[in-house]
Amino acid sequence: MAEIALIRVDFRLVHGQVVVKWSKVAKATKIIVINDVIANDKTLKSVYKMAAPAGVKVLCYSFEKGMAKYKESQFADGRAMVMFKDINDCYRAWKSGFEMPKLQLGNAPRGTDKKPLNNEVYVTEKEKELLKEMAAAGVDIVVHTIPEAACVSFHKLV
Amino acid sequence: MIGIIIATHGGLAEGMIDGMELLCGKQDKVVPFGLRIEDDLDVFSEEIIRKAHELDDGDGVLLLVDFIGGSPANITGRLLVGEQNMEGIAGVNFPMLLEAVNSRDEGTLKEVTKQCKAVGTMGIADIKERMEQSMDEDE
Repeated sequence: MAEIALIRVDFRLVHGQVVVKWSKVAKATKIIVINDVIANDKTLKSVYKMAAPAGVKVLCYSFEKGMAKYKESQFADGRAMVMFKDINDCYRAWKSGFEMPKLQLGNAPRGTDKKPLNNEVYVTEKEKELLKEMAAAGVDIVVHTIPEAACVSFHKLV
Repeated sequence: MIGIIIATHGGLAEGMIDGMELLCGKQDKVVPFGLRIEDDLDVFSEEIIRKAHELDDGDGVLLLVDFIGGSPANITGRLLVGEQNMEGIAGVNFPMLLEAVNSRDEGTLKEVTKQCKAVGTMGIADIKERMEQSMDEDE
């Protein structure tokens, strides 16, 4: 079983803040990206694999396969940083039994019907409701873009 | 704490720090110097030298300059002669700067300098080549 060092929702997935900072803070040996679009696109997959920091493996799973790998062996071994591209996928994973004592929200861009939680995270009403449900069930949700920035509790923002 | 000076032509030094702070947050003791066409080279040189000594709290100073042959490198070359507590690397790039900021508390000036040069060099990659390498993996 891998130790789940960090669970993060970040629209940009494996990018600068994750490569330079979070993977190191989490002491991750692997970054698990759970996203159907990427898992099924060879080119996109190789883009994110290329982004892997030295000594860290990036694995891209479809939602279904990611959940299967989680339930089967919790991603085998090492220290895993698990990443979702959006709140909905993260919520679905949690609903289907992915344990999340703590959840970190990184970048979620502006969009139609979206309102800001802070400068970096924009959510729809629906997404906010999903997060509220998770928070009410005990998931410690924080908004935290880079380690040097403030780590703000979700409940303080709603 | 090891001080870091980035000295380049034009706004490159400032721009690199601006980009680095997006990822690493505000940093102490990282100072840019940009040489402008209208600058007096002697004044520019004196300012770098003064700042380098000011930044040295005993842990030393790492000077990152744009390229061998340019004035920032030439000035640094003259500064470094006989200086045990200062090192310089020419050909500064973004991976090198990130490494400098992230690893400067983890070793001596000599060790950090060596590491920054290595990471900066490894950070140069042919993107298509890298992607092709990772295409071979299936997950």
